Amino acid sequence: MGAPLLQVENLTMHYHTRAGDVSAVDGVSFTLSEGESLGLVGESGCGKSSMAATLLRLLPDNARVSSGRVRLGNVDLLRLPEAEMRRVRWRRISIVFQAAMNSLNPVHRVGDQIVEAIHVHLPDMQDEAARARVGELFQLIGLDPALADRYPHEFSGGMRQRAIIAMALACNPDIIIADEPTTALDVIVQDSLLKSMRRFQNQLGMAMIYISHDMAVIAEVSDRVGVMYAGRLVELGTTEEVFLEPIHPYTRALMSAFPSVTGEKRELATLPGEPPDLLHPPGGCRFHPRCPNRIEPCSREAPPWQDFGGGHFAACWNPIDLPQRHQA
Amino acid sequence: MEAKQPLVQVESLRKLYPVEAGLFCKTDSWIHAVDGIGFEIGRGESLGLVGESGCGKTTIGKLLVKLVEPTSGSIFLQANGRRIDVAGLRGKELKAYRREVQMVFQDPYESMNPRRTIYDTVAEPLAVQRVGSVAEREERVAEMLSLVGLTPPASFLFRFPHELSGGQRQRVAIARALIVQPSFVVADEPTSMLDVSIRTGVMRLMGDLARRLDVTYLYITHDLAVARYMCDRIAVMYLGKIVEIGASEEVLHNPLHPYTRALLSAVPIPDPRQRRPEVNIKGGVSRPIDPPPRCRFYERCPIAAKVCEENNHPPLEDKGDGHAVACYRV
Repeated sequence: MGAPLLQVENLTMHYHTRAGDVSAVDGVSFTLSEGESLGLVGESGCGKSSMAATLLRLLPDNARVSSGRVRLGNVDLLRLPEAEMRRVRWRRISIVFQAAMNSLNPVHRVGDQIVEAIHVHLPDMQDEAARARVGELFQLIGLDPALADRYPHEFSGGMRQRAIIAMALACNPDIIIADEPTTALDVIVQDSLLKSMRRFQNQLGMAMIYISHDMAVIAEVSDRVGVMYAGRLVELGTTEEVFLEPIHPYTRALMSAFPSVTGEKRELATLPGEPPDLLHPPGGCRFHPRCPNRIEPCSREAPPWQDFGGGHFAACWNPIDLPQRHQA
Repeated sequence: MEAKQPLVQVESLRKLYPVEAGLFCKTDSWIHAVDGIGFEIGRGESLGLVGESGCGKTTIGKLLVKLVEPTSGSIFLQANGRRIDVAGLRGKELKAYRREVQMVFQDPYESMNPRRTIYDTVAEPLAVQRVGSVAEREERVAEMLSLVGLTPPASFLFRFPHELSGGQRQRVAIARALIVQPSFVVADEPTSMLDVSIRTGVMRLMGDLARRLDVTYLYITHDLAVARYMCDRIAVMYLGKIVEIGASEEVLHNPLHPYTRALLSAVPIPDPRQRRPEVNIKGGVSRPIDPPPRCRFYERCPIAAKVCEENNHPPLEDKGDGHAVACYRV
């Protein structure tokens, strides 16, 4: 793995609402290396999308970043003037949303829309070159370049999602953030899109942050995995470490609740309760009301984010001990 | 499974939808949403209907609860010792049928009236069916809410849907479907909008209730792993046809149809040590508009041969123990 490309330190963000402040991202820290694929997994409302939006400063007006740094090289993105931030988006970091496939303009040819986007971000590029670039991008993402002359309604959902990803790759960014890009797709289409994404990511040496609620998808696309719960990162490590030797009880609960089509049919675990309301997050560890490993300090004090060895991080007062971890 | 009368019997069921050609134009193209399907569901059994979007699985669900009328074919339900032909039901008989057959929808946010309290929502089927007095209904609703795990019921009765979480809403939807004590419930992706940590609880609840209240499910889902946990048997659909049907573990461990194999190998595995086999399928999704008289899967099939093109779509053929497959090449 290459040098750290992106360093996120103690990122904290809340949404200001009439009912009070919603603590959406709380003290999240991680690094992303060159060419690495980092998977972020968590349930809806755990703050994974808000976190991604914070990195790119694509937040609604009622969001406030109260602390933290997002360092891309030597620059703190949170302190960059908006005009310069605009040059970071797309050229350095681009993002693909789940619903993005519905954002193509129906009355323009798909290729023209990508050319237009290229012109906006790289005004020096000639029209001819931009068209050639679209052809390259289509090939990279597994679309026939001839399809550039078609309209969005002639594309299936999977093809539209590919076109959107092609657009995100147009300026050859260092980092692509993919927020649930395959969630609305059928499994066979998802499989082929995931393969294409892994392929171009390796080919271009691009770093990727892949956000999903699906543990299985995360297991397949990520080099490292971060698990989020109620606005906080609770565990972070290599995919093998997190899946085979989880430290945090939430990680283990999430995995044992996940049904699989392969292997022995085992009992699925049920977690008591529901994720907390982030208007009034529980004190101490936010997972403590649902945690089977709960001990005395859990409700009082938030556990520190610590390295359990070799860059396998977690925030837990009473982690799953090693022999038990091997069974999980 | 005992060899008694099945609860639900479906025979050569078809549903065609016209393709919109434009105002004042006559349509002569048809979408074959459900195209000659037959299956049976035994009492107390649950059958999973799996397939990709657009394969017709939801249409089958709607046909069974009589939200849409079939183009042809028949549906029979065993109720009160009689075999009812669902097609001819009108008036009173139809109302009685609705008491036997209920539906749970995918989206708990869309399938409830936001202006009505939980009590109103759950009690409505009782009011429609004119069951019991108001006091009795209140008691039944409270009982049902505690049965689906919304306890204490008194704290939920007069709340509104927006005050509940997705998991709680889906529990309300289940309570509403089960309050008239139906024998058969069509559940259309009931857990696909729910998060993992909530989903298992709802799945388990549906399984428990099926046993306790003697309910039979048709469980519609795109997720093979969920079907494995919820269903005794699985039917795999492709473009309006059932291509494979059999006991869940049997279909998953020993898939016979090339489509089932492709579908299974495309499901990601939540274990970084395991590698999946390559997904063996050609092309993109086709649509069932005026399909030519050959195997529906022909264009995408990795093992297609002449016989598949020259003959009609193959019939389901039993390969032993009720594991049936529709393929010339198996």
